[in-house]
Amino acid sequence: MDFLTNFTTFDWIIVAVYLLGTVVVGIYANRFVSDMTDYIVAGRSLKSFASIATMLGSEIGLVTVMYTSQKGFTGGFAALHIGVVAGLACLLVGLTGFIVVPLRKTGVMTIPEYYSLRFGPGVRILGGVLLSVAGVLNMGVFLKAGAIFVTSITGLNDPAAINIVMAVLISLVVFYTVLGGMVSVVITDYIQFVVLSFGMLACCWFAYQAVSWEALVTAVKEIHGEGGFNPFNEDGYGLSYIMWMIFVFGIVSCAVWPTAVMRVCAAENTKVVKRLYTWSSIGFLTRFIIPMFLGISALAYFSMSEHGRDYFFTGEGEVVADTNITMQALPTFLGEILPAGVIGLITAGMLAAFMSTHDSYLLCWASVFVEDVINPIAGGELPDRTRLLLARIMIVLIGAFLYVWSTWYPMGQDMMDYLAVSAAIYFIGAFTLLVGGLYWKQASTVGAYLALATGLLAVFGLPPVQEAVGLTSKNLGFELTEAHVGLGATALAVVLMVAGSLYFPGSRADRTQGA
Amino acid sequence: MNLWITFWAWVIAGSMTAFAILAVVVAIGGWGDLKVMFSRSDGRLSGRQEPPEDESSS
Repeated sequence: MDFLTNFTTFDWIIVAVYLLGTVVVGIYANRFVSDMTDYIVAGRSLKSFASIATMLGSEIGLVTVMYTSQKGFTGGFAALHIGVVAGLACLLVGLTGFIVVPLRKTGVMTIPEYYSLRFGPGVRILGGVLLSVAGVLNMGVFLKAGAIFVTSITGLNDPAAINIVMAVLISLVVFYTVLGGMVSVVITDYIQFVVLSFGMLACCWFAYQAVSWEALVTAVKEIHGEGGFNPFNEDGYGLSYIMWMIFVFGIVSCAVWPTAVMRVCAAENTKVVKRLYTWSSIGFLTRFIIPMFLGISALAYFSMSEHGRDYFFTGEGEVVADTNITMQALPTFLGEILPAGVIGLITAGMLAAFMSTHDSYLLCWASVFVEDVINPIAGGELPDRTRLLLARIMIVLIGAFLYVWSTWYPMGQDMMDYLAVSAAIYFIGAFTLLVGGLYWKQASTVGAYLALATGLLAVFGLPPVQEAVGLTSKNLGFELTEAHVGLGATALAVVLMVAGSLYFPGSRADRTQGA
Repeated sequence: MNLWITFWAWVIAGSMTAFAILAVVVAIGGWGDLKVMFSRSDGRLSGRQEPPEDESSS
């Protein structure tokens, strides 16, 4: 289906100048990288505002905008509950210091390092492997989301265009990250934060001009009914899904996810940690609410046009089930409502966001694999130069994997749900180990191994895996959702941690009198 | 349903206002921080903390 777009040659020039500028920044940043500390944590030289810009730059990216707007499109206003629980959970973590304060008191720099301190080096290596596998799988669909955004907003209708755009994007990001490490991440995060935050607010203004509030409410009422407003309604999300979201995008994303924990470990003291979380709750709220609002606006906009109804809705007036199509809703909407010039700036900002998220995550997972898996296996003796080279090689290998995975994997669920399930491979174990290790003296090494391994069960929340092993609603007599699998696996991990610790007591903390 | 509509309207309006304020403050403050960070001409980051000696084995 061909949609109109206001994207012109002038907008292409804006995007090209921006991309060229980022390469120049990457080359410039390379001057400041002299060792592994510069490469991974920018020499620990980040000041407060630059830290906040970096954190928000990483958290509010193109991928976040794509998957949250898709959720707004497919769920209506009820999807906003995810933003509300994310903000509230972050605020509660800030006020109580749950997980983050005792973790900061241990003085570790990463979660796998905590595993080593509390449960022994073997648990660190297993935790590091699971973390990097889950992290890379989690990133697996980022590239496709980026390419769909570019092709939809620019009106590139050739079916081969998505693969070509993905190849160009991943080459650019890998080149950029390999070159500059965390120093270039800081610079792109800042630029991305400025361009995208003001750009997003501008998008909201243009969206409001294109679709009135009354039109939004009417469209959601007609398409989603009561379930489009009330998240507890079983026709919409229902209680189990809300509980899953409280756990994943509430507690886990701010207190257990490595990119957030990095800030905890780098904070000056526990008072700063609590303040950081209390104030960051605004960012955790808005990074979902604003893109979801745009997604709901796209829903109303396309429900009012004939070409939109034909493409995004079924004959019965329901949103189509194909996730590759629903992901096109926001960029196609922006392509139609934003004027020339503005659309180029927004695309450049979104590409900045895309690069910002990719370079942060590529660096994070490559570093985890080198620092928490390869280096401990080598006895912790690898020289700085070798670790830096290995991290760069890992980034190139992960980049190649992302391209292959993006072109091959059939998602079959909203991107937000895919992200939650793939991340769960890591965080189900991580959450159990952190809570058990920090708050329960009897938590043992065997219990930790069992809880970590249980996280692997999360893969059964992916539709292609369910199909492959026969966990379909036809065979089971009910629909096994990602929320059921995730919550069930978390409960099992807790039970196994308790049982394993009681039957096989003893941990590194007992031997070292630590923790 | 009307209660939910009012609630979501307030959530959206409140979020946008809070985000606008946050964006202005962080954009200005972050620019100042970056200027300081890259102010040295010897190719080193300003305010850089040297790692402790035993860091590689931690």
